[in-house]
Amino acid sequence: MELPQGLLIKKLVLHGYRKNYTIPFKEGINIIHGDADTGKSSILRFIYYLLGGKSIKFDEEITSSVSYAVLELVINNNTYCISRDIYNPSRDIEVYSCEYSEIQNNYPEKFKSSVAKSDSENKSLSDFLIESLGFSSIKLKQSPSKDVSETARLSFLDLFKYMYLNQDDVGSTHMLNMGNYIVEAKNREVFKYIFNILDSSISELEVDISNKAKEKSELSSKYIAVAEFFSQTEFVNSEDLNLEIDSFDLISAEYEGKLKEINSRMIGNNNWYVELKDILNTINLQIESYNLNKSEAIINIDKFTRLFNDYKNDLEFLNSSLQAKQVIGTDLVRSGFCPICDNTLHIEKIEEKFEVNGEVKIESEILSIRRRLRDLEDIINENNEILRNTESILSALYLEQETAKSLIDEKLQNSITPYLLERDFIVGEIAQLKEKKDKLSKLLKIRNKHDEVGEKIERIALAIEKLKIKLTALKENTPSVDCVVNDLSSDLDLFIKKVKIYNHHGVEIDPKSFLPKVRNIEYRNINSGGLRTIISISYLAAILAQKLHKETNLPGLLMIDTVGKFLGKTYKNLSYEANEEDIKEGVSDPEKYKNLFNALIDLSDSFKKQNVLCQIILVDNDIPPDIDLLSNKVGIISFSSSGANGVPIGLIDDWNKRIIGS
Amino acid sequence: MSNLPFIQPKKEIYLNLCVILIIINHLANTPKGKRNLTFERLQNFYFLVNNPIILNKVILLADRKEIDVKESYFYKVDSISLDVDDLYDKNKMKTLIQIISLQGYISIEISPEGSFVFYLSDKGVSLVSSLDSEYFKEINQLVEALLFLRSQSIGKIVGFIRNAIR
Repeated sequence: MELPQGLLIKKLVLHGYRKNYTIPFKEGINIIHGDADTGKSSILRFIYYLLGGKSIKFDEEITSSVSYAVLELVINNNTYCISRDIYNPSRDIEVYSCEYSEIQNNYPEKFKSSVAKSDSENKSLSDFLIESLGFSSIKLKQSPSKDVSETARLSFLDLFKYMYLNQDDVGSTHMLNMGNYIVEAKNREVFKYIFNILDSSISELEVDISNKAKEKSELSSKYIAVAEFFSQTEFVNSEDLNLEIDSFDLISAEYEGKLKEINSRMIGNNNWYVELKDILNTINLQIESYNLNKSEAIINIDKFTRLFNDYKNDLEFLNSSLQAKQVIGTDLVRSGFCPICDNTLHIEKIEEKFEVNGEVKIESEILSIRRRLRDLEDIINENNEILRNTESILSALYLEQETAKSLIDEKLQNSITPYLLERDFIVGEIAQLKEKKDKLSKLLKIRNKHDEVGEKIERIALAIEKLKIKLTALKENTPSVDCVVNDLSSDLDLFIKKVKIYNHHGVEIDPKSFLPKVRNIEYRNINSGGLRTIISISYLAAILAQKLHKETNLPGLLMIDTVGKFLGKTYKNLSYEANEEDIKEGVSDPEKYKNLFNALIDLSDSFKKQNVLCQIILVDNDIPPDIDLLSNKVGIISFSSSGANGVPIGLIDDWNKRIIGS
Repeated sequence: MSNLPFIQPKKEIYLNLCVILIIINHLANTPKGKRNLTFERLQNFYFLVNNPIILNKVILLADRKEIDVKESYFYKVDSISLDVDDLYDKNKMKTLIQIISLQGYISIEISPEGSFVFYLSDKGVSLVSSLDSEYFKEINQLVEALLFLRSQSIGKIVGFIRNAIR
């Protein structure tokens, strides 16, 4: 279906390690609601980041789950996917000219992450967005009051300030950098740009048109050259490539099926294997236990043989001692003259170093050793017997083991080999198919890239056309500041009336600061936070509403984080701490909160009726209870930290701190 | 030691006296007939005869053919560790020499180098010739295998043993 011109976010995809997390968006109102700390605000931060926002700090659950993020959106009826690394914000941002599901078949265009890093050759994402939306890309004076001033290229982020109120901005006295005079001055220039009331609007437009025309002709010649190359090399066209890739997928699936079937047949036929393996295991266990017996017997034989030898030696020593005693005589001469010095010599300490035993004692020892020798001999023989038996059993077992093994080998060979051959063949075919498919995918990517250049040329042509129309309109009917301020003032007045604040008077836009006033008091000087919330939201809503009357250089997107800040939300929950000013203003009355929501829904309806594209994304903990969400076709994204009724526990719905943390 | 309730047959005094006498019988003279068996030489020979494994290693170190040692002399419980006390215990040797000297089995004289040398008296020689038990025959064999050491200096002999027990 052809959409009206403008920007529409289709979905946010967080590409994760465990899974992907997808958040879909609708045209019109989208409400993201749920408990605190479930990732509601992160969704808006991701959108901001993917549209070129500065680096943002992510929660632990996101850093441990997500590798990169993709935003699928439609700009002037062309679908794009913006993909950005979430850990390294300075890396180039990739833009695919296709839906998310088609990314793998396309080469992305790369853009610099910020305007400051870009030049005429390497464009930034901001340049891409401004050009795609058909806005004129201009340079803004840094100090507008001076005639000679440094200029800087307008960035999409400058426009974003008028589309996105984050949690801190809503109702804040520092919204839109109020209080910072330098940025305030720049914002006024951006405001003028949005409403085409810059002094230099016409001349800037002319310069922009001529730049774009130049770029278009360069791209066209490139496109033609590549097209010629394609036709000369008879390069396959996209349709044929797509058909062929699809047919490969079909054949692959067929082969995969066959492979599964072979695997199951192989297992089914192998029951005999389990039985044989059981037998083999039993044999192995027996061998192990007999080997244990064998080594025990060997150790015993060694131990007892050594002891046997010791006793045998002792027997010889004792026998020899007996003989020596007989030859020398039982009584040793223990004193006499020293043969060297002629002194008297006494030998007393023989027993310290040697043993002196009587013959009877030696003889009885000989008898007892003989007895021990006989016992030992028996033990050694016994162990020898055990060893011999074990060895003969073992050799029989080894034979059985060998037989079982060769039986298994033989059977395996006979039953598995044919399957293996078939399997090898199919695996080979699948690999070949995959290789061919990869090659074709690459060709398809080249084709798609070429088509993309063509689309880019069309995009620029369209942008030039729009700019020309705008130029003519501007030349014929240059809008005045007064006119813009009056229109905006009346829309702001209308919107705030719907919220029904107390003492409604003096609502207008200041013609110098372009900021809102209520009861003739400037926004920043209003004391009630709740009232400021209403005015800040109304102000951006009124700016959005201008698209219904005239051409503005702002996409029809509005994102508000915490609509009900400083406001009473439900009758049940009146515990919210309102200050004195808030009580005076009655903003703790949940009626105001409901009115604010309804006013935004009304605004979205008006866009729908006039067939102008608009998308409003709202974030809050609760939705006012009496709002008719169904008939208004509001997109709802709910989170609940308890996960009750199947509601996801958060943006990262498979995150469990306890499990992953441990 | 002597108070232990069992006999340690290898420590029997008569046994050791005869071993010493057999050593002196064979190794008292050099092949040329010179008496050179000093206390220190005697102690080293006594250690070798009591440790047939080391004895064989010494023979190998001197480039000579090993002798057959009875299996029961090395394949036994205490062959796992080596007792080197005999090599350094001078008192033990002194006691043995004093006893055989008092029994009149050896004679002692002073060598030209000024050290005491020992040799068997006639009484000693006749005693040794009557020793014919299995063990004494074995000791005779071991001592005969050491005959080549008679002409070696004491320094050389100590060197061999040191290398053998290392």
